[in-house]
Amino acid sequence: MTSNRLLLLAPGLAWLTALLIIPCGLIFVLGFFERGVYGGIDYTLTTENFARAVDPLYAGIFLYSARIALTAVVFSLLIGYPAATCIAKQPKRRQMPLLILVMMPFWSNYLIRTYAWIVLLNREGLINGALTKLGAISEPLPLLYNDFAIVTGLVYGYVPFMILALYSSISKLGPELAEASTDLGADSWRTFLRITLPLTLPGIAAGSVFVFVLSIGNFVTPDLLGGGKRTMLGNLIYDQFLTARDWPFGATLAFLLVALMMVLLTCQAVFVHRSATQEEARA
Amino acid sequence: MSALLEIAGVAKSFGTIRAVDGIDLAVAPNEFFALLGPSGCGKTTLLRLIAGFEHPDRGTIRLDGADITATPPNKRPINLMFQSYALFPHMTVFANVAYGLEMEGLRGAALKARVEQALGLVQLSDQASRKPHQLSGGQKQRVALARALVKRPKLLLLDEPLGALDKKLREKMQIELKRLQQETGIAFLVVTHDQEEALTMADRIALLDHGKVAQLGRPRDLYERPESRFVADFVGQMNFFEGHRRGSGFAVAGLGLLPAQDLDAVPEGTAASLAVRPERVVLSDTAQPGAFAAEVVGSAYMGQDLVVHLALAGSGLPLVARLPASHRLAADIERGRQVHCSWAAEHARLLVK
Ligand SMILES: Nc1ncnc2c1ncn2[C@@H]1O[C@H](COP(=O)(O)OP(=O)(O)OP(=O)(O)O)[C@@H](O)[C@H]1O
Ligand SMILES: [Mg+2]
Repeated sequence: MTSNRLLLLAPGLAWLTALLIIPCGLIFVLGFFERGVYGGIDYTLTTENFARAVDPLYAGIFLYSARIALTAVVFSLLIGYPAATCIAKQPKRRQMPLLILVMMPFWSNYLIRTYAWIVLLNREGLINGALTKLGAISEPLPLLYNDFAIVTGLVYGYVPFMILALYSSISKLGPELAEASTDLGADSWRTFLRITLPLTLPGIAAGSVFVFVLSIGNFVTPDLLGGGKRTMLGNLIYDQFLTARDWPFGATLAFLLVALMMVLLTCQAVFVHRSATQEEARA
Repeated sequence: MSALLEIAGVAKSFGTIRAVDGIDLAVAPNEFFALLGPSGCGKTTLLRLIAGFEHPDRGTIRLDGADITATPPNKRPINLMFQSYALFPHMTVFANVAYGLEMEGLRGAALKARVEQALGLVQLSDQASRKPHQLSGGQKQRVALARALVKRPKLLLLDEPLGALDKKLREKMQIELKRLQQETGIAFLVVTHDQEEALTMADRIALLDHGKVAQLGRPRDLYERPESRFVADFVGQMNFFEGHRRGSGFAVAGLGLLPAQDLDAVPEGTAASLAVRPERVVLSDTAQPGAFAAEVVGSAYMGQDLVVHLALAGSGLPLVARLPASHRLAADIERGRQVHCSWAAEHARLLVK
């Protein structure tokens, strides 16, 4: 019985071991060596890379990345919550097509979709062009190559994850508890604050962690929409490997990022598990 | 006595389904009123219309003389106890019960006192700090009741309040509900599909069928004087004979002329059903004038009563009789035994609808 199960797990385990666990281990180990003179690796043990990672210069990049990612989370929530609520309130047969529409952007390449934002946001782009034609502005708005553009790109790219996570939480809730709250005299705002919001926290947590993790490590969007002026954690790691050719330091940064993601994902999983067991007990 | 709740010509359709199809009824203050009917007849829809979660296509709903048809649910002095209880899972029992009072702006000691009183009323004072998922079905039901009662509504709507409970607990809670209703003086409008429950608890019953009121009256009226075959069939057990009104009786093929009550109300020749309650069938082991010979085809022992299934001699028509276990014949009713059965004319009702 157990050996049978192991056999079934074997391909998956082998895949994960070969392509995830071993590379992660390598990256971790790499962080403890020195950089070679010509960009190679000098196999002398050191903790200097970790000390360097907390240097104000790099810590600043880390904080900036976290701020951008958090902003993306907040806007994804503000857009995703009403959208998910609206989908969950539709008749059952209309929900699936709407969810497929939400997923539709994934059918095309992330890079291409990000390029498309340049067309929309640049000085002569669609938005500035339209606003100028309408006479709303005389000078084009600085929409591209700044934090606004980066956040816009990230929110655009990852809001579907937020909607899906929230949808699964909201649709599970059903309309009955909100009705009970209304029946007891609460208006819709208080029903939202006291009933719907607390009970959909698992969905909020899941969606937020997804968007945060995907955003903080992203290097395509800051590159294209930030115009390369601002460096995020993803760009920094990219540069260490490909430009500075400092693999050990790049590996250290990559390891720290993965560790942060793991911590967040674990917290979120524990949170979801806790509310799920509570729900089971309820049913 | 003026009515507390008046429903006039209320109708509600979902697409092509007429869930509620023109209902008139009135509930008096302090009344225990039951809505009874088969699954899908529109009971829940009617409650949701009264609570304000659905808006009627036509008709008006009045409470204490004021038209509340357009009033939103949170502004109606009516509370609904949901079929699934709908307790807030993230709140303790205390917080669940306090919720409605907080919405009225009540705080502090006054709030605490009201909640504790309500929990005392349903005997849950010692469970105040628990979460709903730590409670049994019967306890959840009482929390839901306390949560609705604590608001002191003018009218409490209860959707199958005992539906999820086992038989023993149900019977206990039926008495509980009746006690609570009398102690609080709040009018109760209870939905049930269990006719026995309606008969034991309610002051009056409206039996619904396909979104319409089939009959409205006291439990005794519905049981003793059903006005249609549907009512006679739904409330309690009933024997039916199909035939025609003829001469001095009711003609049934294979049985001849049977005696019946209120014969004059039905015109000669009209097709109708003759309805006789099983407990009104008299069994005897000697032939008597007007009695039919029958053979026992089976029996079911029900504790106090014995239910006997018979086949009438000649026609083979089925007949069910119910006799007390203490009856002289009850001891030796067995399959194949010949008996004679009869009933008094006043216990045989002619139903045309
Ligand atoms: N929201 C809705 N959308 C569409 N049809 C509905 C809706 N609510 C109720 N119905 C239909 O209206 C009819 C009456 O439903 P309702 O829930 O009032 O029945 P009920 O008497 O409460 O039945 P039960 O005893 O099974 O609870 C049913 O045919 C049901 O399918
Ligand atoms: Mg129902």
